[in-house]
Amino acid sequence: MNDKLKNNKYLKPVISAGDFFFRGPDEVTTGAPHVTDHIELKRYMSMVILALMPSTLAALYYYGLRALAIIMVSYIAGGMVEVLFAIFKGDEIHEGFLVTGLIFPLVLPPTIPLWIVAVGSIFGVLFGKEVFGGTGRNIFNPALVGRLFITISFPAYMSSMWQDPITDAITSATPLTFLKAGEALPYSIMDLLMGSAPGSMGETFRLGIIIGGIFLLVTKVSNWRIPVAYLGTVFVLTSIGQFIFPGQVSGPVLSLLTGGLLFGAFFMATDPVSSPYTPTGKIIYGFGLGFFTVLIRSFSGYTEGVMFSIILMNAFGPLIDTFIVQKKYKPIEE
Amino acid sequence: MKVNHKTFSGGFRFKTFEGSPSEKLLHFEATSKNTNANVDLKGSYLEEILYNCGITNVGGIPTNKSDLKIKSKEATDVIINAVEADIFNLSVSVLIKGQQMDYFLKGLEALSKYMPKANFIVAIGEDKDEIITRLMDSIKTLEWIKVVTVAPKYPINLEELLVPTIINKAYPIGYSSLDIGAVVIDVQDVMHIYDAAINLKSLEYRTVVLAGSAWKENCHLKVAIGTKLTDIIKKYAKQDVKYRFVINSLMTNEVVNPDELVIEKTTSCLIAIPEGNTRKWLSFMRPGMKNDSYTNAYASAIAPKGIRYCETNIHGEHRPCISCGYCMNVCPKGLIPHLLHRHVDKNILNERVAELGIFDCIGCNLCNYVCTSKINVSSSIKEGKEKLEQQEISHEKYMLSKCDLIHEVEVKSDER
Repeated sequence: MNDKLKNNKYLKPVISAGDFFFRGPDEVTTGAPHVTDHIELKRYMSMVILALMPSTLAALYYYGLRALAIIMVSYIAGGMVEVLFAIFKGDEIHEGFLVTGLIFPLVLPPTIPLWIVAVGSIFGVLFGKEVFGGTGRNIFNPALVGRLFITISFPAYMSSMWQDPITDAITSATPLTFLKAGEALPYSIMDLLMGSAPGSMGETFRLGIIIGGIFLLVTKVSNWRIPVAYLGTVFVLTSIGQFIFPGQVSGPVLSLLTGGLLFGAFFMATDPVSSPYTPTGKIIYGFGLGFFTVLIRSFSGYTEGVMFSIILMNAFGPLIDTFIVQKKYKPIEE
Repeated sequence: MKVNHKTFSGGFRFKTFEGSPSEKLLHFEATSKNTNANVDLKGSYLEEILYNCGITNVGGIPTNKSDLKIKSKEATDVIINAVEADIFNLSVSVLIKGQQMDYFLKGLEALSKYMPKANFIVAIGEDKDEIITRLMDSIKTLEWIKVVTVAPKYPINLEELLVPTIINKAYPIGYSSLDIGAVVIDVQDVMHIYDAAINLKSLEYRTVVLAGSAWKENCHLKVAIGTKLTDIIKKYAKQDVKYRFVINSLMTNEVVNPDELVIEKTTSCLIAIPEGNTRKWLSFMRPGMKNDSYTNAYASAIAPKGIRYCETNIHGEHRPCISCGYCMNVCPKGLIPHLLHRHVDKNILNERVAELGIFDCIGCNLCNYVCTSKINVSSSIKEGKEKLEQQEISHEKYMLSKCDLIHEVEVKSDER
């Protein structure tokens, strides 16, 4: 019975995922090179999850068990889609979802109804990743595709139901709404860094995001070019823009420390599949991201521009790479 | 005289692996011997001596004898490869310890008289301060020899990368360095030349190194050429460990069966590493103080001088390519291996793939080493090269046309 269970082709991906979670493979190299690097996809994703831990623990601290429930629903709903696709493709369950399933809830407000979380997670994994062909083939960041869908379909939940972390009061005023209205912030820099200001669950503890982001850069899991180019462009554009358009563009320090910018720059823009792979391409990508974030935040009806700019630049990613590769490897003139 | 330093992009500096050899030198007397015919030496012409001692064809030292590639007058650069960049290396310090340094220089002097038009360059890793100091002291007054340091990152020890880095000439990959007038020899070859030219001794002994933790002792061994490998294995290999036996390089050479092989003129490393076919509990969650990695995702990153595991497990499951970019970062020729892999995988093989530099690949296998998704990138690239050749998009047009060949090269139809 046990053997039949193992060889059942429908259960194979699930059993194999459980098996390889607990024990490493016994497969050996078949030729040169006879030794390989120890890095592998489970370790790679574990490093990202480790870097997300400060934000996750802050979310649990400020928002309690509700945050835990949202995270669990996200994993279970999206996970079901992953498992179903793995079973019907006959392939194994891939580890990319471990990160998507954690990033998605961290960009949602803590008051969001659980059924909307499930819908968003399923939509994100299905239309953001699986329809493109699965791991390694998606153009857009799946967590952001899910969040985009929820923002457009249930706008009230995503804009007026934020929760103040300290007083637990439901409010529609985040630091970004104050900046958009041109009013002074009732929060200090310390509040913004330590998570005392309202916002989505993972974006508030910005000190933790910075520590996690730098951890990812040091372990070489993320490339430094994207966060540096992105944050640098925002800094420069807002430094200049605050004098040219004083009512609309905020100052550089406040722009960097409000909204989901730090979270987006360190964890979402650096996704290896949806961002360009050429080094120069990554810098151009960072410039574009910074430009669109400042543009959408300052001049559009939305208070937050990070999500839209990442999705927009994701679409440009392959084009940037093709352009750079064509320049680098010129066709040989006859 | 200043020491020059040359750099190259990419590459990966290997740390110390378990089974790395110590500097101890033992002598091995074989019970059975299977030597080549040692011809008695007559005549005082160096060329005759080198040929009769069996030195010629060691590293491709040219002679005027008809069966070799270039004449000695045509050699323009002689590079002595003393770089230790592979996982396991024969230690240069053991070869030129003490008095041996004088013999090394005398051997070089003999060669310089034999190839008078050539520039002599000793290429060595920049971390070998002691040897560099001793070398610079000894060659203070000599004009015809230079020392060039390189960062000891793999694969600078491969001549396909060493020659272009040091003398800035394009290397005809798949062909010999002699085709561009460069002679590449090892330190040990120079010692043999000294023995042959000055002592009139024929090539009899070879210093090899036993590397890998499946040997009882990791030391240098002086063995007679022609010694059966099974004799060495009987004495020095651990009997209870299942191991993989490779000669000279773990990164580029395939497995061999030692039963019918002997020590040859080109043998330097006998590598036996344990097979890693056991499953480790929670392997991806362990801190990994002894796990080597290009990333710093393991605790071994905080202990750069620590010993790392060296066994054949692939350490992960096969996954699709996520464009993490590690293969591109380590490629010494600046190619984009995952892009080439995608072309070959989807069978999009046309001129564009050749323009992307697939023929520039030197086969160092670093892309395979670092791949996060455990994809066999280098064999994809080899397959791509073969398929392109079949389509008449040839290596010759994209590779040989860039090289400064000193004579006509016969184009081979099958590549390495």
